[in-house]
Amino acid sequence: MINNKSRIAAEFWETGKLPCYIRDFHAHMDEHAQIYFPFSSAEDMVADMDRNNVRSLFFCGHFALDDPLYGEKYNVDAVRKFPDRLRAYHIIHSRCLNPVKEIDEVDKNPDIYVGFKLLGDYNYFPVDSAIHDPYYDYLSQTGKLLLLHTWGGSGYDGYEQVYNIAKRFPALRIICGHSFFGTHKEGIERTRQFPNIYYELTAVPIMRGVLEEIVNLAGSERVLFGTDLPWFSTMHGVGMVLGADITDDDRLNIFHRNGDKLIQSLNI
Amino acid sequence: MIILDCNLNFGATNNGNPYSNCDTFEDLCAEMKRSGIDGGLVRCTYSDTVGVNYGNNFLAEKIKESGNRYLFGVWAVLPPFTDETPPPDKLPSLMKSNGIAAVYINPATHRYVPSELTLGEMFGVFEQRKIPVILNTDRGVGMDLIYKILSRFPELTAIVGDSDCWPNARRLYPLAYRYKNVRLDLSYVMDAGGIEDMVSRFGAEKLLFGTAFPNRYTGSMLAVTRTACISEEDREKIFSLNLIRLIEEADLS
Repeated sequence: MINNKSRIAAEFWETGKLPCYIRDFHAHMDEHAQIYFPFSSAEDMVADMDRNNVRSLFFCGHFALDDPLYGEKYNVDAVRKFPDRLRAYHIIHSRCLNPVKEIDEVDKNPDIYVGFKLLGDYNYFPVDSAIHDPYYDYLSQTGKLLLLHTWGGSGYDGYEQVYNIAKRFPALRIICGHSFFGTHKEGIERTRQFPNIYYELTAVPIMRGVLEEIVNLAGSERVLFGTDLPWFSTMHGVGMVLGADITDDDRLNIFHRNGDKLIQSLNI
Repeated sequence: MIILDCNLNFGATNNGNPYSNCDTFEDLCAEMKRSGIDGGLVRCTYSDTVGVNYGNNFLAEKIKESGNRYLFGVWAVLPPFTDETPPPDKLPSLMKSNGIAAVYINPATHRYVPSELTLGEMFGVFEQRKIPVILNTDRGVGMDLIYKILSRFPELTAIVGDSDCWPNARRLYPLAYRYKNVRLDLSYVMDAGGIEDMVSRFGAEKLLFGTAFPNRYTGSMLAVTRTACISEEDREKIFSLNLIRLIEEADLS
């Protein structure tokens, strides 16, 4: 039953279907050199969304993440195949920047992009470096999203770097992917003063008790659901949210209410 | 449908980690009740953090007290040279009388060299008697060692878990394909389509439902297994029948 104190969990267990829809703010796509994925294509991912009541999914594919020269086009292709379900984050490669071109691509293709994604740890480059300012300026002005990979103890994308960005760009909507995994408590305490910062749940399921603390510290209104699909099954994250010691109201905030508000403001 | 979890543990720790602890057996039972887990294989962390016998005995007492017919203990075992745990020939009957269904090794924590010399005699008994041995990278056993053990004892009834938080098919599938008595602990199989892929490749019989509670949320693997696109027969095998069969096949006379 997963959780005998939750009506949503009870309905899920009975039917095998989540009785509410999901907005997934953090996913990937396609193969990866270090991992075997049983499925990872755009078609696979949309089929998975259909099975699991996921209404929309924002992603940045592995090819874009790891190939700064040719990878981005695969994001575009996937969204064009499934324009009603998918949107992409344009990747930012800190060591291979072209802000004029990349901002233009995002700006001219609102049917493809919801913002940018940046992984400081993967670029070995701090996300609060001023070289990213043109992107942050643009996102601040347009209300589009910045998805950051954030990780505990990182000197590239830890909570101090996020704090520095938010202080300089308070209007910037920042989604903290993985919620500073390992230092989520310190990270939330440092950054929650900025109302445009959201905390996202990929990786969180692998440490029991963290979701409850994130909700306690930040409030469920600041938490967004994400899977890292295809790394982690949608249901792996769903099961965590269903089983955690939080309220059904919190669960609905996380699964879609907070996402609905963000998406409405993006005019998608 | 009965749900049995092959990867449960409890025991207070002083490691300063505010998360992922389940201090008491009673807490474990409460979580099982809350989440709908009927039983399974449970380990007491005291065998790693306090003393091997301290933990093993504590666990046996709790298993007996519980009266839960679906709950079975997992004992830590040591090489026989220091006479700290029962010798291999006496161990099976002691396991039976104490409600213990499986054993695990943790050479890193227990500070011995895992080798033919230290483990050979014991593992020979385990292999011959089909006693389930838990080989889990979460417990001081690397994948290299798991490969070596299974190469040396290819008939061993082993429950293999790889706690790496990245999807781990490239490391696990060869074992499932090669060794007929290997079962995979699903506690850490989190990737999209992972269960479906394994069932289609080497069959549901190789898979055991697990949650790695209290380290991880029970809800995660419950939800993944509940919704996996497999037949209901396969789901029941994974949730309970495979583990029951494994336990029944062990010769603990």
